[in-house]
Amino acid sequence: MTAKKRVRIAALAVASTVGALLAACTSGASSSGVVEINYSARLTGVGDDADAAIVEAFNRKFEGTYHVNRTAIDDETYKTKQITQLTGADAPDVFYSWAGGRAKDIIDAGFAAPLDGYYSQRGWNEELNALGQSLATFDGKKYFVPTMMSSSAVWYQPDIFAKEGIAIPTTIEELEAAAAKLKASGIAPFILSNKEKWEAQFYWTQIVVAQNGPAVYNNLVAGKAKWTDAPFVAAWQKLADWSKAGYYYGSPNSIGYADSTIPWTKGEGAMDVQGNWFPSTLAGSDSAATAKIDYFPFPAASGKQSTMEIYAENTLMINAKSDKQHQDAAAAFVDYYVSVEAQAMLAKGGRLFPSNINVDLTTLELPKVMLKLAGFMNSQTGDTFMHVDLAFTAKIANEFLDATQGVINNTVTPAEAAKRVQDVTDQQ
Amino acid sequence: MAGSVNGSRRLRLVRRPSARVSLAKRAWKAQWSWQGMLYLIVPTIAYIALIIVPIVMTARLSLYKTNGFKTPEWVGFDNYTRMVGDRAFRKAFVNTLIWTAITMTVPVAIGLVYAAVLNSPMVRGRALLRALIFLPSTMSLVTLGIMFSLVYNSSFGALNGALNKIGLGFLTQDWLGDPNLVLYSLVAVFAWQFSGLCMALFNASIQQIPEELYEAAQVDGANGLQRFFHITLPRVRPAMVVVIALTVVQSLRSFDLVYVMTKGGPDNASALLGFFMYVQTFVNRNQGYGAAIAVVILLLSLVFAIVYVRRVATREAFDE
Repeated sequence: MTAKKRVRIAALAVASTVGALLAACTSGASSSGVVEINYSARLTGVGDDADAAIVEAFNRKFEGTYHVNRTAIDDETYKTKQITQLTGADAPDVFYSWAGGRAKDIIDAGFAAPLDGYYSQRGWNEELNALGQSLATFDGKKYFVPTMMSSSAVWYQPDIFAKEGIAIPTTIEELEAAAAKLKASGIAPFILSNKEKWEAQFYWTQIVVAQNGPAVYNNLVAGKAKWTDAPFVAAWQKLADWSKAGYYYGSPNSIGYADSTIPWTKGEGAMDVQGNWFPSTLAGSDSAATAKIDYFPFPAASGKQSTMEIYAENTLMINAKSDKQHQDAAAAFVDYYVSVEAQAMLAKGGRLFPSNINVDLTTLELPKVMLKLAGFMNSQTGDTFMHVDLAFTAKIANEFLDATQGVINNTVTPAEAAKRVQDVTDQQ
Repeated sequence: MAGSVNGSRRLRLVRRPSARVSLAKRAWKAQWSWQGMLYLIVPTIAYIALIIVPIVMTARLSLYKTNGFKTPEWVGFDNYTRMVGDRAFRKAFVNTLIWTAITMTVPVAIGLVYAAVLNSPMVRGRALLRALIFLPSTMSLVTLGIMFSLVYNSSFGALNGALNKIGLGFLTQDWLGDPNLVLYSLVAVFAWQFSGLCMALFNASIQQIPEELYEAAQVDGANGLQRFFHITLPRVRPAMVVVIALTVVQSLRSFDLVYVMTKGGPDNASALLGFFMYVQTFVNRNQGYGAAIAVVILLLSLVFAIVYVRRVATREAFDE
């Protein structure tokens, strides 16, 4: 082979490599007219296969028009990767987002496109859960689409209640009386697992709302109240009092959420304030346990109305930095994602509850208790609220979670906890 | 290498400046090699790209306030001054010092004892015992963390269960929930895992010690303990220098155990700097503050490295 020939071959190889690299790096509309969009999904361990199946079904349905490339990121990693992804060159056109404070961070940074136009155009106003829509609204504009609704309640063991002759508490005073009775019988009233820190916030938030109504708590979220105000300090005080009274099973700060199913299935504890995923977790330890569990809304103080926490656990945002063509394609994907067909797929995969109100839950073979809860969620149309780490920014929420661990351990006083969280809030 | 050392010594003897320059030039030419330079270029570029540039970028980021989404805002040394008043940072800093102090002594001491005992001809099944002691070193800290979370559970964990069973119920503790105890519960897992590796390194070193030394000491009437302190210990000093450096590096990087077992709780009682940096950077999205904490960890490592290299890892330590 001559030197000239060798050089030509080398040049050809370099050119083809560069060409291939450029082709690989290019995304978007291909020459065939198919609009390709990137979707960033968060894996939660529940319904992940259904999420992937929805993408496949969408790609089949819109073959030749749209194509979705799905990137699935593990639950915890998502928090860290989201920044890298959104600020990177190949940012997703449609992506998972938490609601509340985390959503606000993304909106403030200019990555979330306002979706009011798509809400009207696609009919989401009519078919999506109204509370979910109100949570998506920031400064009068809707920035995300709720894809899964959740709630929290007091989960309890009816068998234990029946054995101890305890009726379902309708006021917080009755709840405390029931706790005292259970404690006297050697049963832990509450299995609070707080090793991961997020669990106790359900108790705290529910106590605030139970004693004062959702408006007082929502004022705090809106920055119109201080953490050091009496209603909030009183909620921490209640947590500390319950700890001193021995109402929690074992040492709450050393029990992980998954491990809490062990004493529950052994019947060593009677209640837990948790999200609606609790029965699914329980079923992982004891498939028969879901048949022996029930819930009641956290009871309000005497003379007040009980309010259930209902919020959007999963949502989708459309990237404000994507061009119009890709945003439209992303909206088409979101539209399919919240369709009755796709929402039913997610619900069957365990992602409860559908945000599309037209999904017939009776066709999903859900446990009785979940159907009952869904009915209650649909019946509540008034004010609702979101627990702390969803409602506030991560900085405030983490200080709250740390301080609350201290209160439960009785190493931090309620007043100190309130001051710590207020200090972080003031720094923002 | 020896030649170049001698050459430089000879150069120092030359007093006339012009002659010294000429000799130095000749020495430089003799040592210059394009091939050598090429060998050096790749690792140098890699070192700069993968170590120096990220360090410089992290140090630069520590002077800004940013959540990763917005344009960084210059705040000078605010992120550093903020540390002084940050209760959680102070806690993590002190925890890291305690953690490092324990990990550079306890697993090293245990590993050395294991190695010394398992080199005694009186112990049977030494290979099996060594393998068993080394086994935890092959496991990931995440796996160990999950395992020990269950072992330590104060209500239904194996440790308290075992203590109750053998009549030592008064020793049961809230291993992960007690803020005064949790750090030590975690460091015990680290020490348990790392002592196996220490044992392996000391074992290799002990096996290099000539048997005659022990025989001579025995003839002189030295007992087992005396032989250990006067022969084994001085002879394993080079290995110890390496082992301590390894444990300190590992301990400053510790993250997995804390993340898996306690998430730094309760109320930051078990948070280490590495974990605190993660929380600030990725959870709270205080990227500038997180970078400042990373710089502090780097400075801690540097201080250790300088003191260690100058005082402990000396040529004499390895010559012995």
